[in-house]
Amino acid sequence: MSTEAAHHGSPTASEGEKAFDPKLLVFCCNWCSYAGADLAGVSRLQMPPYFRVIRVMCSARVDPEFVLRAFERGADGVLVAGCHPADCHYIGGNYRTRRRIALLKMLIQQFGFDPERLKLEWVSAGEGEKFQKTIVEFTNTVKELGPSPYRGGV
Amino acid sequence: MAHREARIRAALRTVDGERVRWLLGKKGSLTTTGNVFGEIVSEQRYDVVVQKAASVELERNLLLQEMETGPKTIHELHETTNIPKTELVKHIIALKRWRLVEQVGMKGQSPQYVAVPRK
Repeated sequence: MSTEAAHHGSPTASEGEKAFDPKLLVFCCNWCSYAGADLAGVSRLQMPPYFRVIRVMCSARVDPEFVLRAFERGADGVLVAGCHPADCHYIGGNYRTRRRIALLKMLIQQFGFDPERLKLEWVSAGEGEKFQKTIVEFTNTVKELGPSPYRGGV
Repeated sequence: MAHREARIRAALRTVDGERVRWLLGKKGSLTTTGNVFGEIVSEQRYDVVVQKAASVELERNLLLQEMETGPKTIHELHETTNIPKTELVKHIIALKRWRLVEQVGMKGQSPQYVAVPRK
């Protein structure tokens, strides 16, 4: 399975004695993505252990401040997972999130962060496998990028 | 650390600001049906415009925050924000035009600017 790459992959950006374990923050919406994450867990799909999930009622609840504070406090990557477009429990929350994340990607570049460190993904309640795949891919991306500039990386 | 905090505050003001919010909200219409003159903006051009707007707004908000603490000269603003003086002057002109800052006096031969309190 593709998780192998994440678990046993060689340290990339921070080549050295110590492997780089990224700190990832995942915001999941209560109605879709959190259920998707739950399904991935119940299905015992293997995922790298570097992420922490925060459940929010809607992906639109993710204030830009949350993302900026996360980076400020040492997160190497932030993933926002929400319902697919048109599936939002609150009608249009995910559309707002999409705009907001687009802007935040531009803003974090001004702080010296690679925009790849922030990701938005649509994960429905039945997409446990997609959640797992997203986490694996995101972990690998952040590993390639190395530690956050606020943690001494570039 | 204080500089980082100031940048974060400025970024949050930028996100809340009218300019970038308007640009983001208009993406669909600007890139498909076009503006009021029927001019359609390409996705690449749109990205450049939003990127530039976000960058400029971030710097202006940073300057506004500095000037909210008291009157500042261009030199003082340059020292605290590291924004090039040529860019600073452009920002100050724009902020004055929008009546967000005003000149309050002189420090030696340099004019001092202060942010107009927000309503």
